[in-house]
Amino acid sequence: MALRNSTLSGPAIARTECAGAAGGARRGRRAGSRDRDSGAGPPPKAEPRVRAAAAMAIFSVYVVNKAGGLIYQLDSYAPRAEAEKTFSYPLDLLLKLHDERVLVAFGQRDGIRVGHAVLAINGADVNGKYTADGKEVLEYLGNPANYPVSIRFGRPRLTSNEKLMLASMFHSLFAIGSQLSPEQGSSGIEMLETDTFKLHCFQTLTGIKFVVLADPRQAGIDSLLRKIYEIYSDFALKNPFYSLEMPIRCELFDQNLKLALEVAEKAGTFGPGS
Amino acid sequence: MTVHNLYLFDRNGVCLHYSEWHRKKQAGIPKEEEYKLMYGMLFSIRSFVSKMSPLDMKDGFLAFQTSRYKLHYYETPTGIKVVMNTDLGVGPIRDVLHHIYSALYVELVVKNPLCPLGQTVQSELFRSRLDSYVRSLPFFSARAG
Repeated sequence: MALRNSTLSGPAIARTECAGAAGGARRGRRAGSRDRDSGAGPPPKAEPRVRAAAAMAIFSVYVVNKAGGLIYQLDSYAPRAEAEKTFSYPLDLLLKLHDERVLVAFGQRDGIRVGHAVLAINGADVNGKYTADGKEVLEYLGNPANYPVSIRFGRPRLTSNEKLMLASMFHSLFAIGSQLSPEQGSSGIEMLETDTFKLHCFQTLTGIKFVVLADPRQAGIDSLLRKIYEIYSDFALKNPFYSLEMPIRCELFDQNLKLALEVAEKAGTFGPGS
Repeated sequence: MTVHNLYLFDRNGVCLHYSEWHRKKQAGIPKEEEYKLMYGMLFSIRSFVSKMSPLDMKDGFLAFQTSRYKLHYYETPTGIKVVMNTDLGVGPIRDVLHHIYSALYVELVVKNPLCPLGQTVQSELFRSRLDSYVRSLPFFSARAG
């Protein structure tokens, strides 16, 4: 974010950027890196890493206790689908306030899609429905004196409240999935597939659920889930200060989990399909 | 490989059609309740998935699997939902579900003036064609039962 602030300092920006329009999953697609591109050319070293990240990725990890409460969450990699554009008054998008966020309600264009949230104005990140300096976003954008204005749009990030809610929602879906089974003795949802990600879930005998969100092409998630269970047993359960069913705040758990994710991302590139 | 059952919902959650082939376990609740539970689950999964997704989605939710079965989901832009439960060995069957919608539902129900939309399909022709289509699928095994 600091990078962005330095390149987009004021409202007098004539350049229009559209980072999300390409639709690819290039990592590091930022205003700052774009500037570097136009100047000295991209650093050649970054190329293979970018390609690996585009093909393989583990997005996030959730740990849900047996009551459906979220006890651990980690976002390891969030692909950016953002679009920045400079607007003049009047704004040709319809914005609305929803859940303390300013969302696009109408006027899909240039990689800005309905449902995207206002993430930053003139390079400064907004804070919910307020701009960086505490004014309401809708009010700010309603004032002709503030134009031209550069707004960055993107998918709204999940708040911790939403994560809690989604975790318990999955807990119930998991149970319904096994109730509606046409076969005897079915477990709950083990793998949920969409066109943008796959959700893998592993429930232990004690009822803890480990959930991993990954790229649909990422292989080796099953062994990763077992590995996370092992890390949980070693670094959370064996920690004398950890109380069962409560949020996991153990440094060693964090470190080892991140390590395991890195290994899985690398191994998945060459390993057999899961 | 086998096909367990098939649900067809409209966009209001009305179960337009239900048929089953190799279903070994019932949900233990009346059928009407089961349709509601299934629709409710799909409705929640849809909203769950759209919130969880790190990128903007096109097709959205496609399938989920448990240890014993796999649920395949296909939704049209008009909100008709085709849901097929199969065993785990079946791969992506979007084209099959699309065929059920486009070649059977649209042709035999939507284009049939005697079939009122938005309620359970009574057409015998639709039922029998659907049954024979599903039985003719390569992953439908008559032996499993």
